[in-house]
Amino acid sequence: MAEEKQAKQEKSIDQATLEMLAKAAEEGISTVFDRAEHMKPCPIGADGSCCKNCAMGPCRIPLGKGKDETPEEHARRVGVCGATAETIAARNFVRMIAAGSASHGDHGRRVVEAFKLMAEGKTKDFEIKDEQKLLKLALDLGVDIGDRSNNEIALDIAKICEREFGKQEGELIFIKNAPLKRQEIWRELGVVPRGIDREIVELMHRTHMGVDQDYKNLMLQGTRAALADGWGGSMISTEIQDCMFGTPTPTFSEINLGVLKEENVNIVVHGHEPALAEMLAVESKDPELIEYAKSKGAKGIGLVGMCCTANEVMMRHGIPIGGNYLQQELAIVTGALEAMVVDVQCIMQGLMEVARCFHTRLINTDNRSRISGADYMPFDELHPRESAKAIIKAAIDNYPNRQADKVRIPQVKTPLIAGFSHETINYLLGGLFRASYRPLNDNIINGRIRGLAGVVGCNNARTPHDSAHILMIKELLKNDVLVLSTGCAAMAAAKQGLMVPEAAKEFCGPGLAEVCETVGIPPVLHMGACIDNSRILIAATAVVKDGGLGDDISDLPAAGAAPEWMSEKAIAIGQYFVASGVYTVFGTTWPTTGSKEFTKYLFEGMEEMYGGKWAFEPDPVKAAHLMIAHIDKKRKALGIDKARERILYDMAMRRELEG
Amino acid sequence: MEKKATSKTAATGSADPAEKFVKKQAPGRGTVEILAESYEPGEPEGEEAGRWRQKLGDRNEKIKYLKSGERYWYSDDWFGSEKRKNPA
Repeated sequence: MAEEKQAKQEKSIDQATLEMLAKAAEEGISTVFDRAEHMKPCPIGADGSCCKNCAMGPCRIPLGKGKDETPEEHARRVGVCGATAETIAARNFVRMIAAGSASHGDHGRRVVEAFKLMAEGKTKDFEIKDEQKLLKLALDLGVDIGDRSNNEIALDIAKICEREFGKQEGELIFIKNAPLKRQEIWRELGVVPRGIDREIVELMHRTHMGVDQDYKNLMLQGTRAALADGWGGSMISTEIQDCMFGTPTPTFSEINLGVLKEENVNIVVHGHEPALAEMLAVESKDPELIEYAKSKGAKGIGLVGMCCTANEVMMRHGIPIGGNYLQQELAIVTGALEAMVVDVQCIMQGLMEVARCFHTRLINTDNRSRISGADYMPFDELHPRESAKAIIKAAIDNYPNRQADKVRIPQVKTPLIAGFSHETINYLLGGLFRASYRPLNDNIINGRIRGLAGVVGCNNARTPHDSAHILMIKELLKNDVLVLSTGCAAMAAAKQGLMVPEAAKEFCGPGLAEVCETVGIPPVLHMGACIDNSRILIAATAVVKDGGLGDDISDLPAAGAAPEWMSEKAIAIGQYFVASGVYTVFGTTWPTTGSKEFTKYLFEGMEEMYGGKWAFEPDPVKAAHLMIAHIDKKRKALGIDKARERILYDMAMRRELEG
Repeated sequence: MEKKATSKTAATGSADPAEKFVKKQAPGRGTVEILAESYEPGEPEGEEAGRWRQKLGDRNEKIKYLKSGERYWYSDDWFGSEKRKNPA
């Protein structure tokens, strides 16, 4: 019994998750946690030593565990076509980058399409919520402002952004937002993306059987595709979404499954693209629909977010968050969900089987992401309000089917403050009349803040849920490192109470606590969904440009991490951070260990080229120490590793100076 | 000390809250008019707390903010790592 309890606790550090896992076990429902326990990862695939890019394979060329191979043994370790361990590991790795960049790029494309429909007046339900961001984009893209209407400006912006996907030559426009030195590094290495789609297509071509067989050359194109994500697809998504739905500003909300209310019609919106969720947020407050819900016996309508869609609507509307990636099935296990509405990315197919055990309707809304057995209610971008209304109505109609004896909602929820976009950080530090990163830079230089860390990424059922995020973040805070966070990592931090200003006093070293208290910010700043990692790039660029901390992102006392990464998007994000000059540590598992040479290239060789490099450390505290050591190395290089002796000059000394 | 806040905002029609002045006694100079505080009184509360973007009024004010607040990208009037007072 004690062993069983311990085994369950090893699955998650989150109380609500443990309660729902117990309920699922009582009711014989299989979840991702059970499946991970029953199916071990394929050791050959996990090391990147399996090539299935042609029908002569799949070829498996595993590296013997814990033994050094001789050159002869290494030479024998090739696929049928002769592909080496290096080529195979690199091909697998860059294909992950291609898929990740494609996901963010396609997200961006959809956002631009909706934006264009709005600008053309073809949909009346969307509007420009942040004119400031529209004007910023006009300046970025060289669009004439004058006395033109917002929609005229928006249409030009939409057309230019649309072209960024299909562009064949030149450079992506947002590249010029990076520090000047960084741009030069990219140009010298020939990795500046020409067009978002082109770089992904070329990468897929190069990994086809019999094409690029030089791992360094493969990684150059991998970098190009990754930069087309971070400084392309992702950045376009973030900027246009801010324009249409509002740039995030500090917002109070709550997180965890305890935000579900038994008396409400509960709708969870899950996925990544915010257009539908925005409309659901608006329509869930419609008095007519609320009355309709009451007519069915409910008290109201409760809209709750899940995964990155949750981050989007929470930052802009304060809509509470049900949980992060590994909690999606568990939200249904509460028995209190009338509908789970999903669009794209990170949606487990296992949801359908869990939903079948309850009255919950799993509603597909996107034709790119259909789930067998789920209801399909397409989101019509020309009539988004009608689409949202229909979905909410379907959920309300399902309320009478709820079985009261199956409902159990864990009473666990935590307050958080989110919405720390680059613009808001700039404003909070400097005020409206001289917004600035100066106070941040000054406090890094004077040592109150030791450095900056971006802790981002997914959950992974192969490691205890949320545990690595929290151990790492707490270690960083204790050492005066300010943490910027996005995605499921941010949600993990919020659930542990790290996203309220009071957390600074409890978890931070004295210097960081003092700064957080003075500015009134939490020590972990929630910057948005995983697509919003581009906000971290811009914030890092602003720190560089403000001065005093070097000329490039690679000079900053900063590091990045994804301790519980799982998706291909995480690899794309990691590569664009490395290529932007950031030391980036991943946990859980590393997908190239089948080739020592290629792995060494990622962990060491990249630094010479980009100033940033990859690292792998599954122990989150040790990983935090690696990040802190890197931060200290950068502080030393900048000459800010020691407090300088303060000399009070008297008149004689001044005269001597002037002389 | 006498402290009386006046605002030129209404008189000039400008929406710039920086143009708020107070009269104070200065040693040896009598009453002088100086710039008043620019922060908002009280503690923000309710749904609007934290929504600072709405403070920016018309389009000109927004562009002006971009050139000051986001000066690293949209103005020449700044100094930093890429525009040094004393070149490195």
